[in-house]
Amino acid sequence: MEEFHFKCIVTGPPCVGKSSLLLQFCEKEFSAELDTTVGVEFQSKTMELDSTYKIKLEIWDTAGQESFRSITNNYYRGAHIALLVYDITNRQSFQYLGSWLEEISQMSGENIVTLLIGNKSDHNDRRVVKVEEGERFARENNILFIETSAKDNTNVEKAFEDATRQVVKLIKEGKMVVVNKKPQTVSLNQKEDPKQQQQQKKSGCC
Amino acid sequence: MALAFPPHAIQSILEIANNLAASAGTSNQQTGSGDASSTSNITSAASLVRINDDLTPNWMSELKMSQARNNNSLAFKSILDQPVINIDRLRALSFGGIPMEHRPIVWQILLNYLPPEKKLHGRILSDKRNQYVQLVQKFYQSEMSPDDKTLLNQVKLDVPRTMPKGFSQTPLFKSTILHLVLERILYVWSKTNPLISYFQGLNDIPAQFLLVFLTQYINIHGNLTDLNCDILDKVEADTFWCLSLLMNNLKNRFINFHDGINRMAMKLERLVKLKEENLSKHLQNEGCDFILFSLRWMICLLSREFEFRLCNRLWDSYIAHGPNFGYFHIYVCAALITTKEWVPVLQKREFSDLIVFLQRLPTDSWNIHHIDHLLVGAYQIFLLEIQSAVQESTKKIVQFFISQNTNSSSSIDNNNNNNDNSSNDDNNSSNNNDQSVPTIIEPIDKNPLLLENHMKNIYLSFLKSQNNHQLSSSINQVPIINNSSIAAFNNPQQQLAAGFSLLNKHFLNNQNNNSNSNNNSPIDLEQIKSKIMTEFLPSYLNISQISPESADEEMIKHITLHLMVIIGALLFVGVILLVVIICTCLTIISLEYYNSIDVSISLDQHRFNIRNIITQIDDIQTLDITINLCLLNQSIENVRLKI
Repeated sequence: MEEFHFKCIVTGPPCVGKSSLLLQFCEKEFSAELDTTVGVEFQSKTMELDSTYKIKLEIWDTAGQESFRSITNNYYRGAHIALLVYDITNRQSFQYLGSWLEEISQMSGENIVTLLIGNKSDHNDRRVVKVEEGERFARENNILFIETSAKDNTNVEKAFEDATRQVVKLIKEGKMVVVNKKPQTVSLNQKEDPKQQQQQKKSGCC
Repeated sequence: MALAFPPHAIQSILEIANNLAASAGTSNQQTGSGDASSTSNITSAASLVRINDDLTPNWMSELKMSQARNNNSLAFKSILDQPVINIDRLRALSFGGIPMEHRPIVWQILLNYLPPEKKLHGRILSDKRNQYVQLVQKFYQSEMSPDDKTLLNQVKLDVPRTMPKGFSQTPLFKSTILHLVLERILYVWSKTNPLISYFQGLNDIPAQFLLVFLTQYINIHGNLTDLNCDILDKVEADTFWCLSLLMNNLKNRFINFHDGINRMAMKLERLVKLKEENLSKHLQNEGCDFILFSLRWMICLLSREFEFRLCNRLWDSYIAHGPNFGYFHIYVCAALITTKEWVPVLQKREFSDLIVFLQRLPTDSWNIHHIDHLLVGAYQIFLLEIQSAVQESTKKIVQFFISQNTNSSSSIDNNNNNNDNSSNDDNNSSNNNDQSVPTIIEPIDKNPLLLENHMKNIYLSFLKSQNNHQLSSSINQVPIINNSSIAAFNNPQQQLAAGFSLLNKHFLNNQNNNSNSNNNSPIDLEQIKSKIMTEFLPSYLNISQISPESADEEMIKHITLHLMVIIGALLFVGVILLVVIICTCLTIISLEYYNSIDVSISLDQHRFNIRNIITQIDDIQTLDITINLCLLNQSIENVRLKI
């Protein structure tokens, strides 16, 4: 079984259920009163994909609030997957996704698989963002899309599978290179690091 | 560094250490460590090492502690019953933990929310509560700008997610009344502190205050039948003011969020390295960024890491510590990572497991004693920091002497003979030094407890390391600083003086030798002395340099920058206003002038025109009439002719 290490960041506006999604995915639990995420929180989970690949996912859960942006931005580096989450019952969380996307590509480089997630699909009665709108936004920006519910565990697993499958596909096609199999690490104080990584990546891509 | 451990904190920590040692001593008596009950500072310092070996307290010590707590409660009562409360005594006592029944009022007094004069309490409380109501009216119940609305929305989203550890099963933090209270506190605080404003994680701090202050009125774990608006109003205002006062102490940390957090994380990293070098190496090798796990500790003041009771105990010490508790907090965090039980576990873990462990510390099984150990651990790290600082600078001084020696003297080998004869020189030079050294030592001397007990160890360990270390042939003569002569000194001043005198003596010997061949040597000696005083000693004794947290400076920089911007803006506005005023005055004057001329001229012109027109009209009319008359005449004549 082929083994991969992927780095995945979960991002999006505050209070859309990023941490709940992770809790559901990693621990199969749900809690309505999760503490707010301060800075960045880390989880890891090993999953099997189509029973041919063993994938170790390093998941970085970032705080949604503006004050932490300068800190969370450091963790985008070298990520393979970005999960951009919004809340289908909150129009505001959907409105500014464009700038979030921009930030993802700015901080991590072009070579990243982005999956748009409309969370809280269990609250269909309070829905204000239609499925079509999410689909359209994803199509326009050429990213993947899925609606999930962290509460009743719909599509949570599938979301991660879709994203990883896409990464594996890109790797097989030679469009993406996993730089190293060891978990990638980030340091705030080493400023030369990103350049090196980018160079490595570039040489890998070509 | 010095800010982190003011004398009263050290005194309290030593007492805690003594208590811990005493309780550990009773359980260990059979194994023969009975001297732990001694109360002197030196033994307590020595026992610090031993405490760590005994982290799990048994029922004996538990019993002792509860007895001690009863006594403690009485002590608090006696202080609080006085008409004017002795703040220093209260502070010293509170550092070791406050009994639950006294906690609300003691926190309020120590945070300076209530004055020491008891008779003023009632008036101040009602004043402050009214003030808060006004603030709420001003900010919360008035028109809001779009920015304010986003702020309020953010607060509204986070408030229901506030859940202090251990309260997820009770209804208190699920009630909407409490959510509203918290929402108002956070929003009004953010509006009154626009430089920092709200950030996620801040909500945990007023939650702790709310809980503590509510214990005065209701059972916070029970159902909320006793809770009424009157109680909530009081508690809300108290919480708001205490939050403001507490956060004022941490302000400079959060104004420039990114820098402040980075600085703290770096300091934490350095402290951990001092205590557990292997662990710090391991963390570094695994690429484990300190910010990743420590950010939450810094922002929520460990309230998310400990259960409510333990967090209260820790905050007792923080609040008793005084306005600089933020510095102390970093040492506590360092002690937390280097908790003895965890170090071996952490060293075995890989990156991802490491982070997960540090993000969810297994503190559920902890009890009050663990917090005591944590505080003592923080002090140990502080001692290590001093030790390393002293070692560093001593090394510098010695290296300086070596370099001087190798430069000035070519015949070092001869010095060995002089060592025995120079006992008189020793006294002389130490006398010389005593005159000049104390003035420079003063900053550290203000905090005599810091060095008193540990200078010996520091010097001895330094000398040992120097013995092992082959620096050069000349350094082998330095061991004239023998252990017995150092041990005879009791205070740091003398020790320092002694250290220098001995070094000096060694140097003097060389000089004496050289003076035979070189007449300029006395001048050199003076030069070197002054060089030591100006170059090495200040760097050693300058506490602000040792302390990396130049936060105060930054605060001042920040304020001056703001002030300059404001003054600049004011000047600019003033100049513009002046110009505008002058311009308008000029235009008004000129306009009036021109208007008066214009009007008269134009009136005249009008009159003239009108007259012209009228005459023209008259002319035309008469012409018309004459023409008409002529035509009429002609036609009449034509008619006549026809007829």
